[in-house]
Amino acid sequence: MNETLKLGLVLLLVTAVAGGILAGVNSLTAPVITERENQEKFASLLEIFTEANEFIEFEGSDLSGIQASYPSVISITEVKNNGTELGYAVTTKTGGYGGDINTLVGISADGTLAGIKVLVMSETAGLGSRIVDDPAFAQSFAGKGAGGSVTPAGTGAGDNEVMMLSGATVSTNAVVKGVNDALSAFSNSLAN
Amino acid sequence: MKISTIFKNGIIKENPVLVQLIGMCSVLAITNSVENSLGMSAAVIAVLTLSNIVISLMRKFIPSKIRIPIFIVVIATFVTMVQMFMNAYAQPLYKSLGIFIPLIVVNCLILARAESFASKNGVFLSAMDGIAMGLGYSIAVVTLGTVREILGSGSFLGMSLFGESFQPISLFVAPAGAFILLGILIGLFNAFVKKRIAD
Repeated sequence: MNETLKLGLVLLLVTAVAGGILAGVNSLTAPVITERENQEKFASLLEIFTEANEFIEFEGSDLSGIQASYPSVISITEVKNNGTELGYAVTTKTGGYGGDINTLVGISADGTLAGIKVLVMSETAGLGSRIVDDPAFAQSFAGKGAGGSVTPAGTGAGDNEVMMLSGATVSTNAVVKGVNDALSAFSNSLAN
Repeated sequence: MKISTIFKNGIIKENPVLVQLIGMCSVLAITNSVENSLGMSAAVIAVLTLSNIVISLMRKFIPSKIRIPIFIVVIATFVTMVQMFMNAYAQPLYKSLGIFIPLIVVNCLILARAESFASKNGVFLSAMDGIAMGLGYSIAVVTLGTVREILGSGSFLGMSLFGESFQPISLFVAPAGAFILLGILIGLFNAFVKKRIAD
């Protein structure tokens, strides 16, 4: 009994010290991480909506109401320029080949895609990772989506067609699903 | 024990990847590019050396019945610290190494060194052992990463080597290619390096 108690106490001591050290490191790094994540998101928003100077984040029931119909939506930001609505930035999370893919989908007020940016992904390097590495992929979305959805086909030259990355069907489809979910959420819940 | 022996063991005679074949999960997963390999190597050297030092310092106080949980707590603490610092100050690397940073905790290489070396030797020798074993891991991982990136993506450290017309062999960035190349690397290592040094 005594020995068990002693072993438990030693373990408690070790884990308590470890916890204390980690709390210290966390308080040091957490502000840097949050700051950088915010900057990254705003930088991406500004890449898509170059004239934006006002960002209104959807919170609470506004967001959860849309999420009930479109579970892949993780955040929505309304983007304005001096009070004029430019559109919405919808971030979606869909399952790719190597894990979840978070895509920032910029939708102009007229319902077409202003641009997209893959924020988080862990797809195979050289194959699925081209959703980020190949700039032509994201560019092929711009201006499309007037019909409410896009389909991947070839180089994405046709109306509402986007680039199909050969060898990365799953990754392409995951991004396209995120974009289409965002477009449906926009036309059914956000558009005036 | 001489320091030169420790380094010879870590890098050649008992190379963790090429001879002991431990910690294979991360080796196969992160060697798809040179950058990832270097990042993972740095993380492993840091965690291995620090955990060896701390475990060596604590070796007289750790009751042998609960040594494994204590080793794991020490290793996990350092891994979490590395992860936090990487997320804060080396974000691109943090993103590409992803899930494999927390997996350093269960990399048997680190637990094996804690159990078989640091818990039996002094602080200085344990630190040297951590660096030596870490270097052995790094050499293997970076070599594999270099070959895989050149063959599989046609680039080195992200710089394209062969121009647009080169068709990379995608197999080599996929896990199957990692297995094939690792086998060839171990074969070459055994045939040339290990034998010569052992004589």
